[in-house]
Parts: sequence; structure tokens; C-alpha cells
Amino acid sequence: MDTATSITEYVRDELLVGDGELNADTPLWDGAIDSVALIQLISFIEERFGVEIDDAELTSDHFNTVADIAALVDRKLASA
Amino acid sequence: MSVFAVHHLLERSAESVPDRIAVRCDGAELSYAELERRSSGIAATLVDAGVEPGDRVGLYVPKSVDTVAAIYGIMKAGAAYVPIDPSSPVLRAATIAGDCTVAAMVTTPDRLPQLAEGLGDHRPRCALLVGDVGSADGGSIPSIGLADAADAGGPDPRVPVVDTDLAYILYTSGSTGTPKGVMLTHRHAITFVEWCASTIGTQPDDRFSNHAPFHFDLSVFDLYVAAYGGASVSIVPERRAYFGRDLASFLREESITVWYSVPSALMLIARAVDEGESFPSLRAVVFAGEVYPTKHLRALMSVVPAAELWNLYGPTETNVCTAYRVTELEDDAPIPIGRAIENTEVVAVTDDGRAAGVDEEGELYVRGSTVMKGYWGNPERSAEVLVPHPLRSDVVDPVYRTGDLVRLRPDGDYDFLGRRDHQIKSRGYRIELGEVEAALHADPRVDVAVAIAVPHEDWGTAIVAYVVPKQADEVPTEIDVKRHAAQRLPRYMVPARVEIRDELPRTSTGKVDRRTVADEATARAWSWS
Repeated sequence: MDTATSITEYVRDELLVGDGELNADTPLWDGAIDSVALIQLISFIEERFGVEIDDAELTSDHFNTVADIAALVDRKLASA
Repeated sequence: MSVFAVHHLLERSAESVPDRIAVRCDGAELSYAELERRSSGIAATLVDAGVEPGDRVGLYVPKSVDTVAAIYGIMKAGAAYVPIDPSSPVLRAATIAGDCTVAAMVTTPDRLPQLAEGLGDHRPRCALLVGDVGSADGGSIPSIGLADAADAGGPDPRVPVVDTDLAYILYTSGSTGTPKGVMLTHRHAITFVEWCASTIGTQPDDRFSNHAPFHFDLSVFDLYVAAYGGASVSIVPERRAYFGRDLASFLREESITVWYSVPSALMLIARAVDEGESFPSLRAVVFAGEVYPTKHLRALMSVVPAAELWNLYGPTETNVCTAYRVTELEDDAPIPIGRAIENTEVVAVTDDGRAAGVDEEGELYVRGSTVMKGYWGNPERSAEVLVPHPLRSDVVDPVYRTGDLVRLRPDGDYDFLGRRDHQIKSRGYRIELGEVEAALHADPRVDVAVAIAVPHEDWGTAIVAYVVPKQADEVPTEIDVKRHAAQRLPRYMVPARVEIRDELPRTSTGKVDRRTVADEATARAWSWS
């Protein structure tokens, strides 16, 4: 399973409480998830992919959509 | 011109500084002249659709420059605006819109069908839609594009308004499970805004931030203190609101001079700032809504060395009633909430009915022009909190009983101690645990549910729910319970954690032993704390 699919599934199954659709390009911050969910999402990514998200990377550019998050994770995996 | 209604602040600045930018949001901006014109267009459209003075108009949309025009347009039409958390489920939005029988709704095409359904027999006269009007299916509710209404530009219908008319109704969490609408007049807002202008100050070259949602009374400061001074307000885009680095960049990009938010947002900023970085443009940082932990406040002060810091206090029912200017922090003791603002009297009353003396504890009562008119359509609940003055028989106006416990300090400031009931604050939001529990109990799979407030370093408190399923063969998962609750609660009220249990500890009288459950919840080391 690729990074984006795996993150999409996690968000859809574990974090999303509303009934909206979710794909890799859905903006996450218009009510889809909140600050509690963000912390859970980061722990999930760090555990699943074995990467560490630095404070400097915690920005909306990296976390606006699942595709953005996946791109960050893939970059980190490639340079590891 | 004399200014006694909130929209007069806009009119006056549109006359004195027409070309200055009034509002900025995500790349879009409106000058005072444009905001005046667009809001008049919206007002004229509402009046044409049949909105009358004293009506209510719901606002259930994401923030934009035209959302601000809509707010002013609603008030110019002589109506009160009713902002509803855009992240709230449609069911809750319909409950609120139905409770105050809105005459019109400002919303999005995708939400209109469900909203119309949730309103049942109540039919608003029109819906002003943000987005593609052609795609909307609102049944018999006529739809008009918000942008089209604004583009039409007026003329301002000049509906007569007096200062005791309602300007807005802010719905807050209700302990019985139904949100309650706090009725606030133009006078309430203007009283507060005038105090802010005379103490914190506002002028045309100021740039205010707007971080709080519009259903949260912190937005009253951002929008109207800016308008009072002919200053501009920059709205923080929703997608950037959770990220400290984004907020820090926003402050710099927008050259913000006055920032107002809950402490948790400021803590995010202080934590994201690199060594040696600071915000030289910031001249005032104002916070309210929850207690700012003193050690975090110290960290903030080191990155905003030039800013005046203000701690404001007040339940939505009084907007703001006390203020404290933070100067230096000697130790880690909590900072006070200060003393009464202008045109407001506060008094702490002991359990035996006396004015609390120095170092004594009491419940805070508030009197003056910032005290609400009551809860919409709920005279019983209003009468419980709007009471005769506890100490003076000569005062005929009701006094607001806050339910907050305070202590009078020797220097005349008050310290905030806590609540008398199950109301809590999380990330500045006021939450009645009873409303959370009512939503959990609405789940057919749930037999018993309790909601517990657990102390959380960043958010003040986090909500943890303990749930006992009705049937052993139909046990919901944590996310199932959250999703069900999220159909009735705004996102910030959905429990952060749900623990599913076979049973809960009981007291000798058979009631759920909340204290034991709370102790267990607090003792657990949550992964997110």
C-alpha cells in the first residue's frame, strides 16, 4: 500500500468524525479534523513509517491534505 | 455621526478612511468603502426578501471577507446575526437556527438541503449562498448568491435601529443537551468596544488579527475594535490555525499590531519561534477564554518583548467584564483576571451572602451595560442567572450570576478559582459536560455514558468519555462513539478519548461515581498529553 493510501485509510477509519468524503486531496482543516486528531495523526505517521516529524515541519503546507503529508513522508523515507 | 449601533462603526470609518483596507482574508481584501457598499447590498437583499427589524439571520459558513460583509449587512437590515460554528454538524446548526426561528440563512449550497430538512416546518424567507447557487436544493427556500447580493451594492435600506436592539445571538453549550442563545445588543458590543479603544487603543495604521471563530465572542473585539479605529483586521485562514509556525508567519506577513486569541493559540506560536526571533510589529497581545499557565506566559513574553499584554475575563453573557494588564511575573502563581472594566461593576459574594473581603472566596456577579438580555426563548434559564443584586436593593436591573468562583486579592484584583458546576473550558471553548453526555446517550448502542474533564497542559482540559454499551454483542468502537456524538456536537466538544467499559464504579446510592472515574482518567498517561 502506498503512503497516501495508508494515511487516507487511517484518517478515514480513525480520525474523521464527520460524514464528508475523504481522498488524498481533500483539505483536512475545514472541520474534517482538529488539533486532537493532528496529534494522533503525527503519532501514527511516526510509528507506521518510522520517521520523525520535526517541529519545523509542522506547517499547513505539509499537512493541508493527505497528499501533502504523504509527500513529506516519502521525502523523509528517501533521504533516510 | 453618533455611534450607537455596531454597523455605525463601519459607516463612520467608511466616511473617514474609505480607502483603507478594512478586512483581509486569504489573499482577498475589502476597503472600508467596499465593505460599506457590499454590506449595504446584502442588507437591501435581505429587506427585499422580507427580513424585518428584530428578525434573526443565521450565519453558517466558513470565514471570508464577504462573511464579514454579511455580518454588517444583517445588522443594517435591523436583524441580529446568529453565527454558527461552521465545523458544527448540520443537525446542531438546524437546532440553533430553529430555536431562534431565523428569517434567513447565510450558508453553502451543499448544506442547504439538510438544513432545510432539519428546520422542519420552519421556512426561512431566503438563503444567501456562498458558492454555486444553481446547485442548491433548498426545497421551497428561495436562494440568492451572497456575492451577487453584495455586488448589487445597496442602497443601504437605513432600517432604524436603537442601541437596545439585538445585534447578535451567540449560542453556547447548554447543560441539558440543547445549546442556549445568549442575546446581546448593540449597546453591549459598543460598551466593550469603547473600553477597548480607550485602554488598548485602535487607530487606522493598526492591523488586528482574527483567530477566533465568529460564534466566539472574541471575534467582537477583532472586528469592531478594528472598525472603531478605521484599522484593518486580518483573518487567520482555518487551515493555518492549528500550526504554530503558520501563525508566526501570519503575524509577520500581515504585520499584525494587535493579536487577540485564546492562550492555547499563543502557546503554539511561542513554541514555534526560533531562538532570537520576535515580533516587533506587535504592540498588544490580548488573551481570554481560559487560564494562561504562567510559565507559558513567561515564554510568550520573551518573544513579544514590546507588546502590552492583557488578560480579559468574561463569560459570553457579559462579553468581557474584568481585565488585567500583565506587567511582570514574579513567580509561577496564576495571573489574576483583574478588575471591572468601564461601565461594569463586579462583586464577589460569599456563600453566606456577604461581599467577599480580601482573601475571601466568592461567586462573581456582574452588573452593567455588557450583561446580556437573557437566553433566547428561555425565560426560566434566564431567570436563574439574571437575578436581583445580591447586596443592594436600590439596583433595579438584573445582575448576572456567573457561576465562577473568585478570590479578592489585597490589591483589588480578582483571582479566578474555578466553576461551581460541570461547565469546563477546552481550548477556550466553553463546554457543558451535560451536553456531551446527552449526545453520547443519544447513541442507541450506549447504555451509560459519563464525560470527564481531564487537565491538559495545552488545551486547559480535554474531554474523556467512559461508555458502557447496551448490549454485549453490539459494542461500538471508540471511533463509532465519536462519530455518533459528532452528529450532534461541534468538533471541539467531541471527546478526545472514549473508553468502553463493561461497567462503571457506582456510589453507595447507585449513581455513577464521577470522582473515581475522573481520578482514573486523570491518572492515565494519555499518549497525547
